[in-house]
Amino acid sequence: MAIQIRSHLTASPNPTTLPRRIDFRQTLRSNMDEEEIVVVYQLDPDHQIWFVDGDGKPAKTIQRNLEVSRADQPVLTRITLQKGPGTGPLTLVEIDQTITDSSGIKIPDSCELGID
Amino acid sequence: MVGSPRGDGLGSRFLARDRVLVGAFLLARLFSASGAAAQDPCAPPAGDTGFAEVSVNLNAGTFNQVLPFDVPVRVCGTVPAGTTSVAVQYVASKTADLSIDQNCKVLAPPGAQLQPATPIPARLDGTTVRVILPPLEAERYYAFCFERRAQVPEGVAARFKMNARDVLDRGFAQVGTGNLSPEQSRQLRNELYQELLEATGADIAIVQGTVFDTGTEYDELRGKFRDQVQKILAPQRRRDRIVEGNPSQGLPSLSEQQRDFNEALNAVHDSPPLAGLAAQLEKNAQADPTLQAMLAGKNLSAALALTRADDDQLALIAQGREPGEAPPDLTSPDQAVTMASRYDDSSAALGSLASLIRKVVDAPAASNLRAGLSADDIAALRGLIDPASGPLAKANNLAFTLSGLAQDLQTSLVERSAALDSLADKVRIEAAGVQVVDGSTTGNFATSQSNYISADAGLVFAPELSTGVSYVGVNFYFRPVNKNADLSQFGSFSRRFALTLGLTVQSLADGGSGVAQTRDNLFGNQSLILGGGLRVTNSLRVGTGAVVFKERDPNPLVGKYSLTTTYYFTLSFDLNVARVFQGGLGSLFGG
Repeated sequence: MAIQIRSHLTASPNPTTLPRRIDFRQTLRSNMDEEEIVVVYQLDPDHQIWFVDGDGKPAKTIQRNLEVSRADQPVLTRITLQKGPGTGPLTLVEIDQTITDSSGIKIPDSCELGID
Repeated sequence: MVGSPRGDGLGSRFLARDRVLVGAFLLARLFSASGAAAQDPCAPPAGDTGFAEVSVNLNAGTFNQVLPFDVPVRVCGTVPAGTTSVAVQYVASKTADLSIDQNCKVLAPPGAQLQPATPIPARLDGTTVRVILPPLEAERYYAFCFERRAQVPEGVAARFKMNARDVLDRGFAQVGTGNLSPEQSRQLRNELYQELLEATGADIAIVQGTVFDTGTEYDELRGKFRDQVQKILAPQRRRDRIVEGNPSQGLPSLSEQQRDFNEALNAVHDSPPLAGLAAQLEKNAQADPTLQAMLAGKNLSAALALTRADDDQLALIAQGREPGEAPPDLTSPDQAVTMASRYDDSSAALGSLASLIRKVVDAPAASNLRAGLSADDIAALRGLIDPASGPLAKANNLAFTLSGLAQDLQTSLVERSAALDSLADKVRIEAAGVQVVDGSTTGNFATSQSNYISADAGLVFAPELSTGVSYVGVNFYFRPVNKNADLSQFGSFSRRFALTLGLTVQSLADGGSGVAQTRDNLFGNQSLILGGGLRVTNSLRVGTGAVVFKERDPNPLVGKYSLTTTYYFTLSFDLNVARVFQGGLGSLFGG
């Protein structure tokens, strides 16, 4: 019913050129044997870096549903990023992650991606 | 490092005192070992160097003598170890109000400027610096700026690292996003630059292409050091989002999570069936050693204590504190660890309580565990541990979550601190490669303000008397004159012309040996020379004027003498009177 972050979100490759599919990794655990969670990745709405959603369209928010167990569980999420309209150029971009557990409690994580 | 400029316009008074001191110093030197002079790198050379040799004390901002004029000046001084170059500028003024500050800014008089536009480079030999100045003008006041460049010493760079870390810590804390903007970077670099100047005591640092460069074309924080910046901003942003939350993302702050936990704890605490269960279990435990041992366990005893806690105690538990403790410092990794441990304990206690309640509600109706509990009580207890809506389940989840957040906070703080250390070390290395510039200024020093007076000796020829004799006299110039100055370069009329007052050495009187006397000397055997002349070389001069003597009345019956004059021409040597007393007759022809 609740989630803890055991190792923080990282992005790879980092730094990177865009467009590029980025691997986001972290390790989570639950206080239940199995727990459904919702993971939302968000980018600042004003700058020039965008996610690419499942339909190939630029997006500032990407959502993934995951299942987490009581044991430490490495999680890998692959999301493509690209440049689009917005302020820039950026040399670093912040990627925010919000995890919502099955009881509705939200916890944050984030990472920085260097842009070449 | 910076001299003490004297902007009080009292240069000449200071010089008078200085001369006394120098005189005393020279007397003392007569009795000192000659080896001492050899140890002074700025001791004047024995031979004629062609320069006026002057020593400067850059710490005191003083010269060792009145500044010479009309001749090249070689200034010698010592600079701190590590100096890589020295250059000199000066400002001149006809008025004594000349003033220059420690940063080589001319304060007075208005319009005065440092010259030359390109500073004069000095020659550096270890810690001894020598620079040749162009001839200075007489009757002027001068102040000098010695611009010194040096590498930042390792020790200073090491001390600077700590200051740089503080600057980076404060500066990055102001960055509210993970995206360091060009302006934020420029501001941080500027603060580092100012801190570098502060640490080195320098006026300027040559920082082009370094992390201290605040120009737009060099942005090392967003370039070469981007990875280090990333390692600071990433944990900083995690910490910020944990502590502050983000309303636009629906993310609660840490204090909001703690408030929710407190509410859930209160809901558990306020449950009458739970209070009844606790009372009943404790009553039953008196007759049941097994139950007594179970309730005495760490987690269950803590859980049952929750049911007896007051509001303040519950609030402290929700904040991860114990009674008497100050609110946790959310910038302290150690306190974050303590918070995490407290939430772990709370989670374990709430989990044990939930397990106990589950045992009770799942126990047969005739079980001792359910003694004294009604069906409504059982239903209410079941509601407490309902995974979806039960306050006990919620409190347990929040304790687990808050433990995780506190651990995240601790790792974020540690990672950020380590990244700051790493970047500060790289900044230290950059600092050690930087050249810093500081200015040492002298006070207001004057060249000679006195008109020149020289001795004159030579031959005087009076055509009307058809005689020539030698004479000695004194030349009065109308300005200071430096006899060492080259007349071909500094040969203005005022430097050559002087009025002459003298006496003939031989008699101009005639007569004797049967010849009638027609003239006599003005005084005894000397007549007066009054005139003027021009130096044609440094010491040879020609002149003309009037010889004053006595003339006998042309009437042979009258033996009376009267004053009269006749013109003359002279060829003479212009002698330096002062040197007679300083250096003997050999220096008479010197400056």
